[in-house]
Amino acid sequence: MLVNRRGEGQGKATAAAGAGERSVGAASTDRQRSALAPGELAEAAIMADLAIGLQVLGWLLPFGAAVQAMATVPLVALAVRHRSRAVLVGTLAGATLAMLVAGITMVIQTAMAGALALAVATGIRRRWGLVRTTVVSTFTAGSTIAIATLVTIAVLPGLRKLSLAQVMVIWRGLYGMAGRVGAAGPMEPVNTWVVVALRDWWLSIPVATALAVGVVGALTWMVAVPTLARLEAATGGSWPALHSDRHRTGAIAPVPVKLVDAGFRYPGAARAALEGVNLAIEQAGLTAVVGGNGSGKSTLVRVLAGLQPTSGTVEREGRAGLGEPGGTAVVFQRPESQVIGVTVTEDLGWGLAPGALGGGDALLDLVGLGGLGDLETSTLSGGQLQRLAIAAALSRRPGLLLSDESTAMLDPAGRRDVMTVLARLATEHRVSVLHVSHLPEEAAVASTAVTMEEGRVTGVGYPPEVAVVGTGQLGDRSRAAVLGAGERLRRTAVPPLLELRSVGVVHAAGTPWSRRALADVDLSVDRGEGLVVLGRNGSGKSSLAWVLAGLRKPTEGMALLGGAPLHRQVGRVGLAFQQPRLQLFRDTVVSELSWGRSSDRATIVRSLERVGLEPATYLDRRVDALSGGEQRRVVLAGILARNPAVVVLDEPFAGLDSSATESVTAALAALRRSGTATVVISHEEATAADVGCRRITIDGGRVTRDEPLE
Amino acid sequence: MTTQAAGPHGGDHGRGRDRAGQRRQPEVHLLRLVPGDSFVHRLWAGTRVLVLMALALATSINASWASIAICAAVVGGAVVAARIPLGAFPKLPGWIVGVFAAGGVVALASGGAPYVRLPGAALGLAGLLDWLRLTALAITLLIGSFLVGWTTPLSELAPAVSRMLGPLRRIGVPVDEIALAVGLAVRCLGLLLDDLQMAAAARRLRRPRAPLGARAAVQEMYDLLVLAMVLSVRRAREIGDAMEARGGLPKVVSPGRAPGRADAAVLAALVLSAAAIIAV
Repeated sequence: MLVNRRGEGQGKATAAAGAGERSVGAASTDRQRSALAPGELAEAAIMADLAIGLQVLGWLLPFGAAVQAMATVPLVALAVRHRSRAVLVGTLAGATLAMLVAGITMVIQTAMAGALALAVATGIRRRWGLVRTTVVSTFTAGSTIAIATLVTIAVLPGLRKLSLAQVMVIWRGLYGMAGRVGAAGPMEPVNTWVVVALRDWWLSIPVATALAVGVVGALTWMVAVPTLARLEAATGGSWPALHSDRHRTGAIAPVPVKLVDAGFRYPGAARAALEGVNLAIEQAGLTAVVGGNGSGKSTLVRVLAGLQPTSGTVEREGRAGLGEPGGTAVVFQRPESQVIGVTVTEDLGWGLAPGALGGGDALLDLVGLGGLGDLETSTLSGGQLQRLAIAAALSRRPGLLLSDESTAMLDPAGRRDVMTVLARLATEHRVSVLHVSHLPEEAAVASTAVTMEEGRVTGVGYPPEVAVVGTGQLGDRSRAAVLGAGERLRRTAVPPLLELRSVGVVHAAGTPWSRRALADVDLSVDRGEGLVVLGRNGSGKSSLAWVLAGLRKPTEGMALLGGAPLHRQVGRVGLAFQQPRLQLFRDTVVSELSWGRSSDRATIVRSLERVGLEPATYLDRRVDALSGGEQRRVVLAGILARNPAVVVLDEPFAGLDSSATESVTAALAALRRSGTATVVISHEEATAADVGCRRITIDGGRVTRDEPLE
Repeated sequence: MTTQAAGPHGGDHGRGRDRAGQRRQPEVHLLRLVPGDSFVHRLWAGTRVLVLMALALATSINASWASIAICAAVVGGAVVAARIPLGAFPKLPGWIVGVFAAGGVVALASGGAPYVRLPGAALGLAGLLDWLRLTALAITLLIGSFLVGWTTPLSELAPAVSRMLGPLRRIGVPVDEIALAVGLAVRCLGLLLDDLQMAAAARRLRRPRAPLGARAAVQEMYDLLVLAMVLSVRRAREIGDAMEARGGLPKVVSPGRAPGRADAAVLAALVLSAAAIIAV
């Protein structure tokens, strides 16, 4: 079992400065005491969240005790993967949050979970078995918690009397009821024990507590061991963590920078992620790097941010100075993982000494967020989040700004805004900007464009010459197939397959947080029809997807499939979320595709072929080793294998390169030919035209346009 | 932040409720601010937390009916002052109400003085009263903690933690790391719940009816746990990178705004209430 050996094999060198680098067994006392690394702190906070989430869930579900027992497992993972300092910080942060979520009881539960997690994690790290772990954790965590409990009830008479009275009352009630049905005899000895236990609470309470902790510890061990193995298999390997050169001395001078024959190979990887790259970045100017999935773009960004290449050299006058004033700033792909603060202003000043943020309002103005400083970041759209991340990066006046696919998850409007900001920075503010993208058209605003394939630079030049390479347009063949299918299957004589009649959806109705998502939506979809739903972020299109899949019963109106309510037919309509990983439950492609149904191998192979994934190559791959585009196609294959009446896809093309886009488009066309209707939800007008014969536009929860596509 | 109890397994076991797969989906709102500008809203975040802790402590020392009444009056008064609408209160799942009711029946069966005379028998109420006392106290404190959530802007929590724990820095407690982790946990809880809700929905789509048997149910719960942990580790890495890109963790977390006069007044009133709770 490779749970705690991140340091072995693959993860070794990569993990040297990022998250999860600590092979805990080897951690010296010195490291135990040193401050937490950003990745450690983030994992502590998020695992604490997970522990609290499981406890809340436990309160809400009838068999919740089992879920609550699992609440310790995330903290065990934290304790196995990191130092006990991380567990302490995570537990205390979790306890603080618990107080606001569900009160003192959950604070105590969280604290106990933290103590138990440390004990169980010790057993797992030392590879003890179940019995030894249980016994030891009963004596360590169990006795600690028992003593704490004893002290608490000894000094708090109200709590003690009330709790003991409850036990007495419940027991006496049960005993009395048993007496009435003539079953008191066998319960007599138990009664004696209960009475003694309640009298000698100073002994019985701690002993019972320690034993209970032991039982939960055993359960935790049994769940945690296989969970950690699967977690390690899913998340181990090469994580291209950012490397700061903060510990080195010397002046900061990120640009001009010159890569000479630079390459990088992740430890244990079969081929280099980056090979023989020659590239120079001067002061100011916007450089665009364009390439498909896995072309080495992200590795290039990390090398520019300070990662030492494994071959070749990086020539700079000083150091990269990641995140330091005048140094290098990076903005990444996922908007919601970029923004750390709870409010816009807090995020902007995050990590800066108090008062060090000068001209915060000017920065917000620059990225078009002027006047929004007090908003909570959870209410921002993806484009706003990315622009906030850029503003936060700019607060350090960087010499080099690296944008690692920062536009990939945005709608066209958000993308345009971000590109405009990047271009202005390069021209008006003299910042060197390197923007990485899989969309060639984004190279148009750049002063230099670089194309990459398989870790190599294949072209450097002015955008117009380069942008032709690998354009993301559909091939003629699949376009013809799509349109043909649409024409042939648009029928009007039969009643519609799926129908929404004046559907309205209100989230959190009746609470202060009530929010209308849909109003008065009328919609019908025929067999084999291709419908495109266009809408911006927050327009209500996600709520529409949930209604179409039957996951949400409309607050008003009716949603019908074949004349019967949709929410009673969950599963008949397939739904592919934008983030495919949320839909993949098993470790490998083959086990994923056979999950939840008894499909034979032939069906699985066929559905993989239909989405353009070669079964021989993909069947036994781990889902976590796949790219986002491949994962999305595996999800689609899983949906196809179920033969749904309708397939709904939320942003199926976001982040896909052109060849992947083409296979998904072709798969959808084939689906429509076989009579299944497809609904593609997108904010991308251009791609959407290729996957349907009818388009509706949704805005503010209402259908604003319904038009045929030629 | 909203989650639905129909979550990962969310009553998918049907239990004969509705074979077609329809189920009630009680929504839970965690850590959501009820907008307002009452004096409760304007207090320092730490004051509200201190009030809650002090009330819990005082009722743990003396949990008589009179002390619970005082505690309930303080909490109730604050709820009214903060103008919390009824809709904000979460709807309890049916089974919790059921457990409380069943407990009440058993407690009633245990009897004891005082007695009410019914035709034919005398009914001892002591057990039931004890049971009600615990229930009343639990509900009061629960509403108290909801109130802290309803009236605390999330961005004020981490600075308040930094200020409250500040003195512990001297004995080597990593106060700033804890405050940072609180801020981060607040930021990520909503993201995590959204992810979990989606994963649960995806599971329902794939297998609308839950598998029969405990073994399959456990397997599913376990799959979901693994998925949640994989997502969490990835999220942590992304956020770790984002923090690294901003120059690493800050050494000190700003303690935010200081408590004012209103806070002093509330804390003084709190000392009196706590003393009354203990004394009566």
